[in-house]
Amino acid sequence: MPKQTLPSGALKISGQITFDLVPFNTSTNGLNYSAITPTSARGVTVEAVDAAGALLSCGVTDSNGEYEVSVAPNTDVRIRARAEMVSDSVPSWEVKVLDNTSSSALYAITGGIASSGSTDSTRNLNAVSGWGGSGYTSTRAAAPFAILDPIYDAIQKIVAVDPNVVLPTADFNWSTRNRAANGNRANGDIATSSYVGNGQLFILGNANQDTDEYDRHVVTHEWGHYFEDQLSRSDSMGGPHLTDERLDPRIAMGEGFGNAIAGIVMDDPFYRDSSGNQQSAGFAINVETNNPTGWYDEATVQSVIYDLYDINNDGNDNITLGFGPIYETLTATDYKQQPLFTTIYSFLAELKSQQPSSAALIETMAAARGINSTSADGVGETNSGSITSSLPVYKQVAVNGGAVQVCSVNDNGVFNKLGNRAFLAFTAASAGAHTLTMTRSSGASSRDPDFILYKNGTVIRRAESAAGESDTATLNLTAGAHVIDAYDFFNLGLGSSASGDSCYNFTVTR
Amino acid sequence: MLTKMTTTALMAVLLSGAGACTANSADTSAQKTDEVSNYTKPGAAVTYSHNLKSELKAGEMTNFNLNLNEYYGEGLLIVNLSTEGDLTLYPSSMQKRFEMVDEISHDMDVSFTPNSNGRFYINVQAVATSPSGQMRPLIFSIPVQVGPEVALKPNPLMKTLPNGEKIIEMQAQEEIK
Repeated sequence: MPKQTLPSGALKISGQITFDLVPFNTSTNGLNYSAITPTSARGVTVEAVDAAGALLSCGVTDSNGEYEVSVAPNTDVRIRARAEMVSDSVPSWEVKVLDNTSSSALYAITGGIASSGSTDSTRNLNAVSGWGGSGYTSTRAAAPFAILDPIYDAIQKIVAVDPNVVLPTADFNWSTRNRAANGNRANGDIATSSYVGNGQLFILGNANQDTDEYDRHVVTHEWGHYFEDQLSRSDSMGGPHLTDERLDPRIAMGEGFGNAIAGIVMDDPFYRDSSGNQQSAGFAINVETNNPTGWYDEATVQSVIYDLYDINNDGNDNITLGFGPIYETLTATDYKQQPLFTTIYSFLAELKSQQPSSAALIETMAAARGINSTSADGVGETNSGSITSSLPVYKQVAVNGGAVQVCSVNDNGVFNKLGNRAFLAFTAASAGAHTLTMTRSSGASSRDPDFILYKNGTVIRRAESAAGESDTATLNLTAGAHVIDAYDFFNLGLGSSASGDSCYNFTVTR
Repeated sequence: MLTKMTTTALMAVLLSGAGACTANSADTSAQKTDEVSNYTKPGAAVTYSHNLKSELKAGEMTNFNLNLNEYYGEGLLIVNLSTEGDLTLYPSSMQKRFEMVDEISHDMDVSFTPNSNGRFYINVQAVATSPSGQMRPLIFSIPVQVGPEVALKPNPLMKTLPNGEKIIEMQAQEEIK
């Protein structure tokens, strides 16, 4: 990110923009306010503005946080650093930190008004943490710049492997009023730090409960969801995902990737999340741990993706690909437009197609982590996660063939857990009207069978009729592969009806 | 079968039955229920629900049940409650400890009195600790709205620039040389 070239005859004001970085106490996983370090604010916009607030010139800080702006001699001027990183030319990006509780206003720090004098001068600005010894006692100016800091690293990581990347806008919404409550985000009730789509991210800031502005891996994890949404593809349904759970493989893929990309960007496998009184507590996840649970576990997914990247070979990890192949896989047209869902299977299949010489090592590592199938659709998987109906991963339906049984169970919880939803796949040999039918065959009665039909990641039809014994849809299809997400709506936990276990016959006719 | 679909979606079904719809166009009809689409950070394998009523009066003591579901086979779940805003909690700070053995559902009876109108919070910190000492927290707040909702005041440092952009200018530590 180059500094601006000064016009001839103008004076130069240069300096460094820094922010108070609050590091972790790696013993407690809480924040360590006794080790606050002024840290370069990299890639942020710096402006020279006059006493009336008019913009005189602007620049961008470099990798040391240093900037240059030009002003006329003897002009009253102040320096303002905006909590944004913008590159208009390719590679391009636009990242801002906004206050969702104040009309989405952009955060900035500012110096005082002073004359530019008659010679070049230096003005250094530091955004303070606001920490007063036992609590925050002044404006938390450093926070927005702390949020940008790991994202600078993430962008650099991408640009290094894709110099022509065009990153869509990412807005980080942060406020000291952002708390873990359900409600109106404009009031700060953001539930938790999250990516909510359309380039919008929300970060917690409520002191003594849960703040995330210094939790670099948390910020990058959420940015990872932005990456998937904007540059790759994710079929994850989102929602609560908790470590140690058996998850729908789509959310396991998305969340495992989020944890892994945080470790990759930071070159630090320890995901840390601080919380509590004085932000003094927290927990850590080591994505380097070789988790063997399986294809439905985000911990397994994160360990696989991180081990594909890192140079530390351990246990069944005997591969080092770096970030490039992971990025190429996730952004490949074949991956983004695949007929199947995005899971660790389809990710590894695409990776192997791009890195055939590494296929054997990838499969060895995956098998040791409970991912036994070597194909994109999980054929041959033997690890059921104690949910018998979870295998095969995709139930193949023959058009005009017999009924295929699928089940929706609540053994692991609801909404996005392994067993809630079943995958089916079929191929329409030719275009024409097809009828899809899902009818309860056994298990709990008074259910609500529903299904969603996809082609290449696009929803073709939602069959979401009211509770009953069956659901059906008749529609014209184009030829080709289709997949179906079939479930009992009561196992999504979105209404007041009780979840339960039941099975269904699924047919496709034309 | 009666459907919950929108009129638009229902028409699409009828048209497709007549063979008149566009083949394989993306379905843009409303979803049955807005599914959660937030991609959230990891946490403890604990979920919660409560039955706090929505209409509350200042000075009136209120009771509700807080239910915590955990998906651990062993360990200890320690739950701490505190308040933020003009609420009186009984007792003023509350801690419950639950053995995480077979029962995955734990209930807490919570009593409080809002002392004035406003939006307040009951903060909950639930920490699941494994026998090996590994801790996973779930942190959340239960909003307590008393009286009519009032919009938050914007950040006092917010100003509008000549170009209409809203910006929050925070004073920096500055060194001029």
